[in-house]
Amino acid sequence: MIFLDFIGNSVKRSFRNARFDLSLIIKIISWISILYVFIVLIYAGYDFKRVIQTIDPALNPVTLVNHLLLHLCAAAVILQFFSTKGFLKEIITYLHLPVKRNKILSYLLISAPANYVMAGLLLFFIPYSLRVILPYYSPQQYVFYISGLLIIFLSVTYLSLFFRNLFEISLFYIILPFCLMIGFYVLSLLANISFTTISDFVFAQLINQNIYFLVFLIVCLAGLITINFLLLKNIIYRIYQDQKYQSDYQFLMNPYSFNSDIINYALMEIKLIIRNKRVRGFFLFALIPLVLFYTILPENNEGLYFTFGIYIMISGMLGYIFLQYLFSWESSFFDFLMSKKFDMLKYLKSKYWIYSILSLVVFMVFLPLLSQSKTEIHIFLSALLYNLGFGYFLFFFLASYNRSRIDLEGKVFFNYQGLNKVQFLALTLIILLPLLLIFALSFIMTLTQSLLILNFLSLVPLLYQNRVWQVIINQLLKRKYINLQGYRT
Amino acid sequence: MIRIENLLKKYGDTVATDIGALNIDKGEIWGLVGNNGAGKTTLLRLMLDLLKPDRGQIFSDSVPVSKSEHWKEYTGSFIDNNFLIEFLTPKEYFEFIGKIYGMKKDELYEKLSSFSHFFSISQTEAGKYIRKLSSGFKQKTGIVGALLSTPEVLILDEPYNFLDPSSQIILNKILLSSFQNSTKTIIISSHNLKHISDICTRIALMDKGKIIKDVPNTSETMADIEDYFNNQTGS
Repeated sequence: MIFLDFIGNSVKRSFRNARFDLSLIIKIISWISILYVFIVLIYAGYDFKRVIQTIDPALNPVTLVNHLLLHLCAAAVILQFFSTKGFLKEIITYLHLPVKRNKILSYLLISAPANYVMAGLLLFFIPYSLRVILPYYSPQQYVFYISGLLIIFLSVTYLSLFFRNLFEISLFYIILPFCLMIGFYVLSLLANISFTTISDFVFAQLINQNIYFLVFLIVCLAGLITINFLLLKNIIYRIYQDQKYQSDYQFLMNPYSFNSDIINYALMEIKLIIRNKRVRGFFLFALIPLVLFYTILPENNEGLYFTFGIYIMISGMLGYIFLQYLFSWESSFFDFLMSKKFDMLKYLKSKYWIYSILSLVVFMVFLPLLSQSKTEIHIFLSALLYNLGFGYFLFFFLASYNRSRIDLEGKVFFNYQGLNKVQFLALTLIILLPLLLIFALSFIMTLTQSLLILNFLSLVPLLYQNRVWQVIINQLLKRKYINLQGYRT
Repeated sequence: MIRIENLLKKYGDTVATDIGALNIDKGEIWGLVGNNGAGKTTLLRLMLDLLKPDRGQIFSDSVPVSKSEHWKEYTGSFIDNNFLIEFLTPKEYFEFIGKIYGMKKDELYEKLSSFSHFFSISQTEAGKYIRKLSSGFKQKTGIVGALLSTPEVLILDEPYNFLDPSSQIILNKILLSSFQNSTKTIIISSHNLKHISDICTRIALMDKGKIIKDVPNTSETMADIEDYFNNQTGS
């Protein structure tokens, strides 16, 4: 019923709010696309055997889907996270109504599964199970299977909601999905437990009508609903505490609804890079070693420490090249920054976001080159995480010791303006510290274990980002007068 | 609004600013005059917490400027080109200021249109980065940037520099219309005695870091100050 209401309301809302302009056309195209996807899903579920036979006749339709069940669920969590809107706006709207808070929360929780992703899953799995599972197994087994799947899909929705609610409270919980990924990775490394083996296990339990397993799924679902209920309550409490409450998470969902300061500062940083000869030159300079690494990396057979050092350089190159002059780039308008109502935290964060994204892009570009072994990927991932969690913060901290002015339109080559010994110190520290740690740990544990410890240590500053930023800002403000004097001369 | 207590700033052995006590009240337009090297810019920088005093403190609305960031919300300022983000176009610069002060676009453009006589820029010029503009337009950009957020306290250093005569007159009109009969405060330093006498309610004369005269603007004040400068030249 709620599902039908949801569809009905969506249609009504779309047409009532529509104006006869481009947005209406986009809406109609979106609707047609969704309808098309739904029809394809129904067809794929209904005639799954034939669909997979066109790909590979040797594939088994039963085991194929149930092999990939957890992958599908993971994809559904991500899709729901990004495709369904957050509750924050709705909560604020409902709070003005004379309705009890618990009722509002219950309504929101009940209506949460009414979304396109859930609809897509059901539209595929119902015809699929009727046509593929039912003929092979007994009706009791089928009922058990479909009930289990329904509970799993509901859990997927509430897991996605759980992440969203956590991010509403603080963006730092973004670390949680990464921890989960690392957890699965560790499981696959240590116990050889992968998504596929878990999927097979789930399918076996459901088909074998394991009642305890079904109860376990129900308990998990109930647990997720309860946690979401408590988190939503916490969010309401925060809204009451601060009427202007707007979480960092809004930025992920809708960049334009986010308190636009970070975007505003980030745009300025991008303009700084693009529009100034010296900064642009640095960007191109950073690309040269990256291209070089890209060419030589496939032939690299050097030892672990050399490789790790290279990976740290690759994943952090773009960040290092800019962050070493972090405040000097702004030397020509630092008086402006220091005398205006400027949110230093968001200003620094915007820079951090830009350079982190650049590092991620470099990581993705280089990844195909080193996908030969899990260990190599783990080393590269560790280097990236280390840069994001420690290296960049160290640069932010040490950058305030650079009081040299930089002429943004100065020549690119043979220009030593802005060079400072602190940069060399920072770079040396950043490359040596993890290598020394891994070297020390190599006496007592394996490489994988050492890397996991490094991963954990890299996560700590990310988890306690607020404190780290506070230290960096205090340091910057402490050096403010010295730097301002330096930038003017 | 602005209070200075026992302020001293030295560069090496040279005293740049040495002020025992100074009060600038709400509603005052305080003009600061003096020769080059008198310490005017240093004093304005100290007021904006861009320099660390060797001794003493500056209070804005009774709060030390070095201890709080609150004064930045109601203070507009333009000292020199270090207050301009030169790789932005004037429009982008104004939008950036508007955003950091939480102004809506409509509000921002309405405010900008009120400066259209002062800052009339051609379409070609408007698309240029600030660094490519003439000194006059850079100056205008900085001044408009300082005025955009309708500040309670406005601090301008040599605002008439590089401005053509018409723009100087318009600037005076803008300052007077924005601040007359209000509780706002303007602190303005200039070498242009005429403009200072035209708009300021109080004029201070600075020499070697000290304020040697700080008096209400009357018909005699300018004569006194001109006499002082005449004596300086030995004529």
